[in-house]
Amino acid sequence: MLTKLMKYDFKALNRYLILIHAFLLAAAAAVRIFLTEPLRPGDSQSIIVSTFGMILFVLIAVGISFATGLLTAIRFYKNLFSDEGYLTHTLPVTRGQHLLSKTIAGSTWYFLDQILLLGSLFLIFHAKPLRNLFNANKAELLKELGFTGAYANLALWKIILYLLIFLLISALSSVIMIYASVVLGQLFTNHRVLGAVICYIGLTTIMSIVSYALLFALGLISLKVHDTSMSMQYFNTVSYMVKTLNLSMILAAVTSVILYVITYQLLQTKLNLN
Amino acid sequence: MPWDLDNNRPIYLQLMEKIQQDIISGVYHAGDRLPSVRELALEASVNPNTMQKALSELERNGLVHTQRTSGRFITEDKTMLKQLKTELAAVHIQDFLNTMKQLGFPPEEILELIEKTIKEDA
Amino acid sequence: MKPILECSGLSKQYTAGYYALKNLNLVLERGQIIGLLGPNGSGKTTFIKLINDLITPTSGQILIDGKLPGVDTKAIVSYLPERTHLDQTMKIKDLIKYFADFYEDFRMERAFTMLRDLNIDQNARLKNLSKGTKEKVQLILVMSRDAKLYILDEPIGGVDPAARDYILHTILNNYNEEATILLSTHLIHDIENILDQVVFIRQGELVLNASVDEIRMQQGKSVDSLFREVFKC
Repeated sequence: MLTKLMKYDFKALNRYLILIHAFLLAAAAAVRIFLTEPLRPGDSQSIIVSTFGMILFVLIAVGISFATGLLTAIRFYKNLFSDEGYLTHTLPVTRGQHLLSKTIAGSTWYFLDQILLLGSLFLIFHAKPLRNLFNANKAELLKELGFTGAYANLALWKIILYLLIFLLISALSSVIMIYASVVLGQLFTNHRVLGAVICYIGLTTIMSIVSYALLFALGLISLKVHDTSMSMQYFNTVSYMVKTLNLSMILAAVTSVILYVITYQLLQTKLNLN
Repeated sequence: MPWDLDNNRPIYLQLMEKIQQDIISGVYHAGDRLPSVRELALEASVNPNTMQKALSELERNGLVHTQRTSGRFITEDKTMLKQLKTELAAVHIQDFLNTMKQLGFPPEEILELIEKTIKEDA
Repeated sequence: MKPILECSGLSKQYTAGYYALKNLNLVLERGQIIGLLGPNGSGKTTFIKLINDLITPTSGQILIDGKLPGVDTKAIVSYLPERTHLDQTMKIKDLIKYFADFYEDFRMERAFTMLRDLNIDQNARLKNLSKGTKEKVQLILVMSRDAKLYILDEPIGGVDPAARDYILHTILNNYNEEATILLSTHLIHDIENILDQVVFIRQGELVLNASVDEIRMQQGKSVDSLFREVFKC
């Protein structure tokens, strides 16, 4: 039953998401072909054009990520809480299975979206002129970024694996947060969609506050405007990133579990279709 | 087309009457096999349970009998059929006479009108 | 055989003092076509939602085939809601596959036959059809299951008289002694003759539970007339 549910959840999401992500890759290809590949280091005009091109691309990419989240939310809401809910909830399937199926489908696409985004950035920056630039200054660049000591000669596959795990957890947590907002929004009997949006804003705000608090507590950020003590030290970007991402992953994992349980409970007890 | 049924009277009684009428008027002959309960119910647009009840009543009256595997059959008893025909005619005649009396016709006039109408009808 | 539905002391309270359903005691036998009749807001929809596990009772219990509402009962209950509950972007033949996927008791040939009878194109998308045709499609999907309990909420409301006849014909045709059909409707006059039993509900309480013939014999009037009397405004 669960696989059947997933089949239809994926079908519903695939319809639009495949299209817009194909567009994303096409846009990336266009940037690569017309902007980054023909880039000449001294040519200030082409650099300016490329910069504008990149900004446009980033806007498109952000739009597509946003659309991915929105379409996932819409599918969840429409299938479970609109008139369609009268069919969905009378299928011989448990509420837990419904939630699990949609969580898997939603986070898979969220994850794919991030992967494709990184893939398209790679596509754009893998242009010959940029590769040459990178290789010419590789050693110094890596040192400045902080790939020293424990992070020296780090195998590429390890970096990629770490990123994948991070993206996976982040995808799950984002999708669960969306679903929790929708279900919480159902408690506002007459303003269910508005309620969901408010809850989403609320949850993401709380998440932000909590992560800032933790970052501060761990000394990873400082409240002082210009902290001279930190600039005196040798600042390792990679080390800082890893610490921040690790914290983010743990926070995301914990919130995901809590919100998933809350969502499940509300689905079981507070379902009240109009 | 669904049978013409009056919503104010019990359905099963009306179903019985309709089937009796069909038998007398020759739609079904003595010894004929009746369609199944389902088929009759669909034809009449009624609940099969109600049709079943009507048929059971007809069976009780002896008008219809069941042969275990082959279904329901009209009785072969010609005398019973004749009697049923006469009874039904009596009911219609009585109804007619009651109406005519209500309209104020005396018996001799009723008879005259009947003879006249039958001649014209021929 | 065990009754298909039994509820004892079934109540649903929404806010303090407002009971959508109050202390309902009702038993529905198998092989019956039952009319669930009552004005809007009488509690019919609440009762139907409780049977379908769309809401939970405040007190009392409801058993379908001896079980509490859940996955097992959903597999034997076929529900036709009053609204369009299907994904309207889907094609009809995809909807048929969807039903066949989730319901073991779904009979595809029956669905395709009925679509042909009504001249409905299986490749059409639901959203492009008229309201009446959409309702027919929903009914076909619901009646193509070999369920133990069919719940039809206003199945003939928005359709023309010819389609109405076809729908009633379909309901009678699909009748079998193991299944029960619960029909909720306002068009009592049209469906009286196919009902075994009628249940009147008013303000969340059971007012009458009798067979159609009983009512006609004892009261000398049709169910429609009795309804108008009982629920006079």
